[in-house]
This record gives sequence, structure tokens and C-alpha cells, in this order.
Amino acid sequence: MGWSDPGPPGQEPGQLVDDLRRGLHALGVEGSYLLVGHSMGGLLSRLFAAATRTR
Amino acid sequence: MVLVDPRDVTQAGIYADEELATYEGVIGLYGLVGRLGIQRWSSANTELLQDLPPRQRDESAALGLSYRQLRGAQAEWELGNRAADAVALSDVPLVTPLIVLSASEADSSFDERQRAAFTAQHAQLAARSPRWEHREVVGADHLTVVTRADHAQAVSAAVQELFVQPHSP
Repeated sequence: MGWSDPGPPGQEPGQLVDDLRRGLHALGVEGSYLLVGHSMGGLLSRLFAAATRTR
Repeated sequence: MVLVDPRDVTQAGIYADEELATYEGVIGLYGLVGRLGIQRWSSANTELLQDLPPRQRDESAALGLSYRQLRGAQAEWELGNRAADAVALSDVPLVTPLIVLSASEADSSFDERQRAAFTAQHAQLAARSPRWEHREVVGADHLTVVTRADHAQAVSAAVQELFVQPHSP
């Protein structure tokens, strides 16, 4: 979307959640997290929270 | 965690099959005429972009006409449906606070019927967390929250207000 390069086709929500997890780790941003998601980002935030329950 | 206007678990119930089929057809048609350079930006989206600085408005309009963006929108739509399915199927209970904000106004992306349906689903989604809050943000709709400063401020104010409150219902 937007000016971003296209991602690989057929991405699944779990891949995007993992992208977020790896991005936070790469930036050295450790929990706790306050996630603010708009539209589909809200759903991905919900999935991220379920995948990282202790944070 | 804060969720703003997410697509939710029964989205397929909101959009009849013929509406989804129409949407996919429109994407393809817009993409074709966009590549041919004969598509004009719709009045609805012109209104959506009107408060942007001139350069951003022109770039956004040009991007919106591109086949790349339209194909991306279609892919995102489908991905959104899969994300909604994943949330619906998730049986992992949340231990984190969950705030869900819903738009109070319809817009060019979701009409009033869809907005009301989403709002009802947002309430159900919020209630699946042990610590939750659900609110309709007056003055906010789905799209203009990212283009109009006053709408964004309405959402920010709601987030900040809710964040400092105890979240147990």
C-alpha cells in the first residue's frame, strides 16, 4: 500500500504480526507495548497481543 | 492495546456476495482506466483529500489512480478478511487491556448501515477481553481520521482519556 514496495503475494495475517514482532526486536523496543491500530491494524494488534500474551 | 475501527468477525455478513463481486470488478475497471490515464478522481475522494497540503493532495490523488494502489487495495481487502477470520478463530484469551474505538460517522468507505454493523461487532470484540472499553468517537469516521486534524484529535483525545481510566467494566 502507499509508496511501500509490494510485499510478497499471498501474505497472511500471521506474517504481518511476525513482521511487527521482528521489527520491534530489531529496533530494540522491548515490552510492554501500547499498540494503536487503525482499521485492519486493529485486528493485527489483537492478533499480536494474543501471540505475545505476557507483554 | 487500542483498536480503532477494526474489521471484525462477521464481516462476511455485512457485505453481500454481489457487493464484494462488484467491488472487485470496480477495482479492475479503475485499474484499467487509470493505466490508460483517463480516470478522473472521484468527487468523494477529492473531498477526502481537500485538507491536505497541495503537494500531498496531488501526490495522493495520483497514487489513488494508480493500478498499483488499486491492486494493493484489493489485496488488503482480502487480507483484512483473513485477519478477521483469524481473530474470530483465536481462542487465546487476552490478558491485556483492550480499547476499541468506533467511528460515529459514515463516510465514502463505509455507509451508515455498515458503520452501525461494525460498531455492534466492535462491542462484541471488546467484550472478549477481561479488561475492555468500547466507545464511539463523536466526529470521527473511518477515513478522515488520517486526513483531517480535528478528527484525528477527537480520536487521540478519546485514547488518552480512556488510557488513564481503570479499564475494568
